Amino acid sequence: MKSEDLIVGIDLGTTFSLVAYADERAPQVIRDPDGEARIPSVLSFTADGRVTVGWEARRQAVANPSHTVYSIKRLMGLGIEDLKDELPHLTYRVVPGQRDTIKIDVNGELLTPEEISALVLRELKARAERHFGFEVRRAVVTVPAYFDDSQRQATRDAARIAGLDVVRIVNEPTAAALAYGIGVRAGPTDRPPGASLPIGDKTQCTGESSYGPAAGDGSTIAVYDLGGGTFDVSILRLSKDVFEVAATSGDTHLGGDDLDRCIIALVQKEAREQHGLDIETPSSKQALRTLAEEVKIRLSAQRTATIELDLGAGRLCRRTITRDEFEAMIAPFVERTIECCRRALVDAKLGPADMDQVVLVGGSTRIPLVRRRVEEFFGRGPYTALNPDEVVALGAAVQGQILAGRRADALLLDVTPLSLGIETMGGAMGKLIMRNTRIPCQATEQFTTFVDGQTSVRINVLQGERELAADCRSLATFDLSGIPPMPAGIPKIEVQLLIDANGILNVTAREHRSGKAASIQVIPSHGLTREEVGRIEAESIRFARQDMAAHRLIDLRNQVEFDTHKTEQTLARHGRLLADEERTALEEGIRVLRELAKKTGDAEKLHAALDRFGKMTERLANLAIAQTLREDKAAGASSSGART
Amino acid sequence: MANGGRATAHPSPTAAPAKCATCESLQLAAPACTDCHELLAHVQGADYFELFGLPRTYDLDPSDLSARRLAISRNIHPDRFANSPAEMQSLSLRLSAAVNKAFDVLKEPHQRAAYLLELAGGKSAAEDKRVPPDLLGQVMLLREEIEEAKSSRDEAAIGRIRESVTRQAEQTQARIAILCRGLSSAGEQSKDELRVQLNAMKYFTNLMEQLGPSPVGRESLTQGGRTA
Repeated sequence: MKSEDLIVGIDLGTTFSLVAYADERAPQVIRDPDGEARIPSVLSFTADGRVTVGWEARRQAVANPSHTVYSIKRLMGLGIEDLKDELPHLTYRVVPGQRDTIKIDVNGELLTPEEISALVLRELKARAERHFGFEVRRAVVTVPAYFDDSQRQATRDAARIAGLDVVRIVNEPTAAALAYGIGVRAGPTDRPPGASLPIGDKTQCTGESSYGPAAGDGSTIAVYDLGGGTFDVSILRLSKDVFEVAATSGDTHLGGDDLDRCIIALVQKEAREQHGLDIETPSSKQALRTLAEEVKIRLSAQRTATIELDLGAGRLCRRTITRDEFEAMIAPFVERTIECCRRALVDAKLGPADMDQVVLVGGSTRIPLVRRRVEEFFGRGPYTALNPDEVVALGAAVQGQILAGRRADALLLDVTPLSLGIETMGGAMGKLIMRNTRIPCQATEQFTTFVDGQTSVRINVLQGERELAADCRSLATFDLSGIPPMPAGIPKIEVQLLIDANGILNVTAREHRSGKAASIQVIPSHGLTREEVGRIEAESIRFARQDMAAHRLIDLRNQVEFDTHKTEQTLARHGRLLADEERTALEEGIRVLRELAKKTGDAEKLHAALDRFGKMTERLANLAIAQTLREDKAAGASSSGART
Repeated sequence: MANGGRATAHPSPTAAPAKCATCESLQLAAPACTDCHELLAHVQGADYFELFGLPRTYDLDPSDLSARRLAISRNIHPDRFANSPAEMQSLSLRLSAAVNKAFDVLKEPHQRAAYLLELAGGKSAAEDKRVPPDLLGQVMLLREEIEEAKSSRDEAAIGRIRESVTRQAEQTQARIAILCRGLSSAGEQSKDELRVQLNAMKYFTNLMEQLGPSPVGRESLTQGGRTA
């Protein structure tokens, strides 16, 4: 595959992230040498400014709790007010940023969630580049279906900072449906091969025949996606080549993290009762977080699991948790997901019994209670042929293939999850686009002025279902300026709101009487301005240059190793062709170059030295080639002589 | 977006089906044609029926309308233009949004009727605001009954109210259908009645919303276009 044909699929998860691609055969996730596809979305910052991403960072979490950043997805595109319930659970420091944004304090350096997320994306990009051996620039990135405009923009900005061109933002449940629908073969670690959804012909769901585009027409599926931090449910209609979302619902702060917190709260209470101790230090909080996650996972397979936390000074907090107890704790969260399912069905004007399949996505769907409740609600067993951790990335890769123009047999039609409107006089929410409207979609609204000669109008764009503007989320304020001065009420400013295929809002405005396009300044409420993204991107290019310099140094050192070794071999074989001083000078040259390669951090200096060394070896190389040619000729002559 | 005035660019608006070359290219070919600006202007100026190559009539087959929308979407969706110049991408985005908007209006019987009234000219139902004389009092009573039934969780009562509202909504929609069919030759009087009935329909829709989803699942009203 060539670089320009490739659009990778990225599942940027709360807990784990993956990168995948699709070729002529099938979509596949890119694994590390150990066969692991998941990269933990965890970053560890050291005091000297280095950052590690992934498994290593996850392992260091307890040792380096306040400089380990995790679950950044739950902070994307949100303000400090939105996060007041979330922040007390985090072991790293979050401070208010400009407008209603936040920043992460890492060793005194303040980073936006977009910049943190970009570091995870960079790691995924690097993994793909190692796999292909060329630069990967274009990607499809998935987001929870219920992400609002700010959260989507923040994700896109993060990718831009990471040097990725986001060709499309795709909703996670939709991506999963796409992976199932086109019949992705299950991986080696999964259940039986052939994971195609039985569309139409229900006998097609197993065996080789299910591979490739599914045939038939018209089935309805529910995708239940409970991940590390977010929950989505989407109702889709599938026909032979169209994947159409009928309705979606969800909660962007409901996932495995919340279930872990039930266990954490229980152990904290226990520690207070047993030892009169509060678990407060960042490292014991972090240790508890890790243990809670382990216990949660164990309870999916076992009836009981025990947590043991060393509180220091020989005090041990020990607590055995039964599955029943765990289920009682998490039941309210599971019920919230079921409530979302109910809402999505109402919006789709369907009932639970209308579903032909229920697909489970996300690591948290391994929890027995979750499976049981989903089964009870929909009245049918869930379909789980593909690995719930990998299916979203696979679907994103397929969408990448479609967008690259290499696949024309599937079309995704999605919806906007939240109603969009404008703050009207008196602080009400005037809805212009209803939730679950098919995207791309548009709405136009007329505005006018209230004062004679007024040349600008400010519009507050909202997203949400509530009646009052104050209860909805403000996406941005748009300052329309350049309106020709006219008496009050005379200008007719037509504002067009357009939601694109990414679920992201675009606004244009025109003054009708003058025909002038009004200029718009967008002030995002919870994200970065275009200028801020541009600045960070420029800075990250500078960092990328530093990275490149580091790479260059490594390459040069390898070259030194190779060249000096080769010269030593040639010296051993043909050294007698040189004068003694020449030979000594070369031996000294080898020693000096190796010394420099070991010590210097200056790639330019090393490059120059390597160049000089190359010139020094020229005479020896020429003599060696001549000698070899002579020897070959002699050998050739003798062998030809032998033949005659 | 569309109005009677601009529709004159496409003569014989009531003839069936529209035979505009651009319409056909919209349905059959990707808009990678040479005249894509013309295409955008056409889509934004055309009436919703023309857009789908349908005659301007109340009675349409919802599944046929869906099939036509899909056929168009296959050709113009932004996913098909990810590698195209920015201008083409923007065009495909705007075209798709316009087609989706048109579909949403045509698929709902009462919105379709309101749109037909708009095309016929004169005041819209929303501008008119009049309703049948005894409706408001009846709606107020029903609202109270619903509140009461809901607070006492009287499922049987909710069911009864839902049945009664559904029946009235169906009767109203049937009357709307008859009025729409005669719209081309209609005088002011039947246009007036259509406005009144459309406004009444809005009240019934709100009442259905207040009642919440039917436990049965699929709602009959959404497919009600041809049952009238």
